[in-house]
Amino acid sequence: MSQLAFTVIMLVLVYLLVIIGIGFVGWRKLRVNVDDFYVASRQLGVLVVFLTIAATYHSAFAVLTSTAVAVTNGVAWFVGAAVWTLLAALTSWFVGTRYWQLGKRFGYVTLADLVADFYRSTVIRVVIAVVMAIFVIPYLAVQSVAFGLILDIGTEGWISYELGAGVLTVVAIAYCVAAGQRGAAWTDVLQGIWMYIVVWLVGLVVVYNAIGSPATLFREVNELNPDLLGVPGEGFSSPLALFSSTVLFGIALVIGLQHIQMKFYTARDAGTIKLSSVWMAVYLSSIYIPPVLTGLAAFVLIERGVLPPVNEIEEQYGTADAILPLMAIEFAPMVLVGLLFAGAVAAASSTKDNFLLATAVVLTRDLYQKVLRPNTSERQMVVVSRWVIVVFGLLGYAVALQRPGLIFDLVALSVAGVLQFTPAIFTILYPGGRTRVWLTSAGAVAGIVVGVVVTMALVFPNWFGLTIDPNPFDLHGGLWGLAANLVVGAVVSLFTRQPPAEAVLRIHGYMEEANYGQPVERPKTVSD
Amino acid sequence: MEQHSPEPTVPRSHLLPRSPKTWLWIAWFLIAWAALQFPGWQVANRVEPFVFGLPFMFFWALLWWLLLVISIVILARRNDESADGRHVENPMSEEGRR
Repeated sequence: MSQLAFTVIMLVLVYLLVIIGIGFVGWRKLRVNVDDFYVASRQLGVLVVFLTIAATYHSAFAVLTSTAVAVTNGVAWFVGAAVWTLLAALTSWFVGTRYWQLGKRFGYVTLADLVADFYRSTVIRVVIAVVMAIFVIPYLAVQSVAFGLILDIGTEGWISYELGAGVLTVVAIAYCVAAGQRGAAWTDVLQGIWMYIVVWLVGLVVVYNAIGSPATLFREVNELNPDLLGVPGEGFSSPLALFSSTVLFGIALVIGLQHIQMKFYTARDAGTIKLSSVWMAVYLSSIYIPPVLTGLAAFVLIERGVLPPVNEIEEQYGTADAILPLMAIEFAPMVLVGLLFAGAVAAASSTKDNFLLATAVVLTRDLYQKVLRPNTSERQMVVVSRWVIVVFGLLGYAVALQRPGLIFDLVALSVAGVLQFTPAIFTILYPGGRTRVWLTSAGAVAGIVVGVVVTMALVFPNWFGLTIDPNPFDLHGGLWGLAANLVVGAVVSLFTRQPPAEAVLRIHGYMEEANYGQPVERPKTVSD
Repeated sequence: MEQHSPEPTVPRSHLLPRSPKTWLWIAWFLIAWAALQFPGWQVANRVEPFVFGLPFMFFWALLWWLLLVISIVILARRNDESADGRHVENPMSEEGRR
């Protein structure tokens, strides 16, 4: 085994031991009831809420893939990503606060709890839970792919892709099963700090060692390919493509996907969510600055012949994600390379664990408890959740063994699925000033179903026998789905029954009281 | 300020801002976003002149990004009594603040 492989394995082991230690402490603190296992008794403070949302939002994509994307998109990458990450922070501020208020008041732990309470409908609960569970699979697989890849490259093949993905998946499953939401949130704190430091440190060290100062780098890129220093306005950076990414990653990812949505219930108060959102504005967007530099540096190194061309890297490793690790191995001290690999593992597992946990909560709460076994005990629900975590963890691993490519596209697909919930979410969270709402339960269900079908048809036209380009006019299939969703939802709502006035008045009335009226009762805070 | 009544009444619409200041905040965010991304990049989409060693487009994007981050921080500070959790109110609302 080479010295590099040894360093990487040691640092990843240190990381795993610390994570297991945190998981163990979380497990000792766990009280086996739904509120504690699912939403950490709604007692988390600013630091934990901020870092758990941030680390969950950013996966291995931020650490590894972003550099690969910047090789071909250059500065345009930041122009796009800065907008959607800042919007994500504002979305968290406005929508997240309302989630917290309603969750605290009415005891919700899932998104479907909220929607089903407003519409008094089990059908919509089941539809939302099923869409969530299906669309989460590509996202889960992506993180397992990252696990496998990181150890494969980092140990120069000494730990195989399959073994690496397997070991790290088992660890993520273990601390979720043991410690629930608190375990996931606490480990996120370490993972969030680790990945942020690593992205900046490795990025700057690699650029200085390989090329020189950023100014030198920009001058050199300007001579080789000035297009990378501007926004070409086509492909990734065409206006409608950027608009799509902004809606998907700035709004839908935060309010629709269960792994982040549930985090809003864990805060100790609404102020915690607001302050966390401010920190998120800085964290989520600034982590994408170093990848612009490393991406451009990689471009220069490829032109100089120091690195193989992107397509050769893809051929050898199955994905262009290997670019940053390869640069680090060449141009950074060995300890830093080890930290990078452990940081990438942290980034992937902080997303994966939360997905496992949130999906388990959704399936246990929305299908098992509310539909299959209404009289189940809380202890029994925690047991079922733990089994769902194991099953979904292994499912993600199984898909990862097929080595799916195109991480960005897979993530966009997951988000496009849950984007279809947004009409119902906004109808509930933002009162329209009347008891009558524009979207009924049947309208919402019809809209979600049509939206999901249109999304799939336009993202994978060949599956449906269509001979059109995916994502027509550069607008993502998910947004076409949303348009169809809104039209169908509005039309169906004209002819179907309104949600009960009691529920509308109660929930909208509480939104008025909590956001414009008297201060709501502040919960007792317990240090966490 | 609307008085809260214990009986549920139909709440006012939350879809539009309730004060002129809120409209100004929204306008500012829209302008900053438009400048940073679309159609702003079409104006700033050039390499020269280099500013602080950065190509102009990257400098432009970082500048507007920084302004947006600062705006969000100011928005939060204006609302700091809720940031520490004593009150829960909409930061966009001037009506809930006395």
